[in-house]
Amino acid sequence: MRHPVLRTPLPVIGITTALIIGGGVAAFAAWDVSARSATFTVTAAHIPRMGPPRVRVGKTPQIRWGAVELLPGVPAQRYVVTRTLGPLSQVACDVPPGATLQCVDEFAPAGYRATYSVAATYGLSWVGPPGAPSRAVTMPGTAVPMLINGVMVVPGVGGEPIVDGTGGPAQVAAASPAPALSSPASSVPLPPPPELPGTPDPVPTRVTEMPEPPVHSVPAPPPSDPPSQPPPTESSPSPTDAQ
Amino acid sequence: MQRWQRSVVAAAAAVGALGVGVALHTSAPGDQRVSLTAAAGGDGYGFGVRATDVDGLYPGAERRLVLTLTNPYAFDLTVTGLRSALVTTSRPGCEPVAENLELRDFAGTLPVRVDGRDSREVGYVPVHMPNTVVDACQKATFTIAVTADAARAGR
Repeated sequence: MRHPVLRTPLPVIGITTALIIGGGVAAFAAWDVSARSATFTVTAAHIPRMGPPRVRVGKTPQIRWGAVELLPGVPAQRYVVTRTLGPLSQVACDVPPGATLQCVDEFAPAGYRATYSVAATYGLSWVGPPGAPSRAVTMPGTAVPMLINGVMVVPGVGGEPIVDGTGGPAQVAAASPAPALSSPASSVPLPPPPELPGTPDPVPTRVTEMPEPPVHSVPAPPPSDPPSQPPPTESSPSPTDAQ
Repeated sequence: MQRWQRSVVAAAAAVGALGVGVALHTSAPGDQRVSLTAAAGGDGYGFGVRATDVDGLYPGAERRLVLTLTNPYAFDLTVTGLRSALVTTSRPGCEPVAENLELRDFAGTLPVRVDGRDSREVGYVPVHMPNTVVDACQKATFTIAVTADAARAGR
C-alpha cells in the first residue's frame, strides 16, 4: 500500500516549506516582521465664529455676548470686541479670561452710528474669525468730525459715518500706549482721545487712538470694505451661541 | 486529503505569508487607541492603518496614542522598536514642526512580546499641542507616521 502522503504531493511540499522556514527561524531567530511606517491623522480644533452681540445704548453702549467653546468643556479664553463705523473698525474692548462676558465702550464716538462684533481667542495666537455684527446703534450725543488713524470721518445723516476723502488736519495726535490689561471681571476701555492743539474749528476735533490690537482702517480715498464690514442691520439683538 | 494534511498545508501557508493592518478607536477621554497589525506590502511587510479620525487638539492639550499590537500569526512576535514622526499638515502656514505639534517619546517597555494570535497594549505616544502653535493650525490635519520593528520571538 502506498504511503498516504505520497498520493498527494502538496502536503509534502507544505511540510517541507514549514520545516525549512521553521529550521531557519530556529537557526537565526531574527525574522523581521515590519520595518515600514503606518500613518494616521490628528485634527486640530478651531475657534468658532461668534454670533452678533447684544448692544444696549444708554449713556454709553454696553455690549454683551455668550461664551463659545472650541470643544465641549473648552471655552474660549479672551474676547475682543470691535466697533465698526462705516468702513473703519477699532477694538473697543479686550476682555481677559475670567471676566464677565460684557463690556462698556466708554469711548464710543458720540452721535455716530456703529455696529459691534466679537471674536474669541485662545492661547497665545489662536484668534477666531470676526463675529457677526450687532444691530446698528446710534450713540447719544452730537457727532463731530473726528480722526481715526489719520482718516477724517464726518457725521452723515442719522449719524452714519462718512469718510472724508478731502483729508484731515495735518497734525495727528501721537498714538497713546496700548491699553493695559485690567484685573479680571472688568473690560479694558480705549484711552481717552486727546484734543488737537491750534485747530481753527471752534468745535474741538476728537481724535480716536488706535490701540494695539489690529484695526481694519483704510486710507481716505476710496474706502474698501474690511472683512468686518457689516451691513447695517435692524435685527433684534440675539445672544451669541455660535458653535 | 486527510485532515492532518490540510492542517500542515495551512500552517505552512501561514508561515510563508504575512499581513499587517492597523485600527484606531477612541477609548477613555484624552486617549486614542492605535492598533498595529501586520499587513503584507509589495516588497515585504509594513503596517497598515485602519483608523477613525483623531481630533480635538488645541493649544496646551495633550492626547495619548495608546498602541495595541495584534499578532495574527500562530507564532509569537517580539516588538523591538516603536517610533513616531510628524510628516505633514493640511494647511499652509502650519508647518509640521514641534512648535505646532509635539510627539513625545514612546512611553512603554521594549522589547515586548506579543503572543501568537493575541493582542497586547504595549504603551503610548504622548501627543502635545504646545502654546506656540500658530493660528494657521486651527482645523489643520496633522499626518503622523508610526514605525514598528518586530521579529519572530525565540523559543
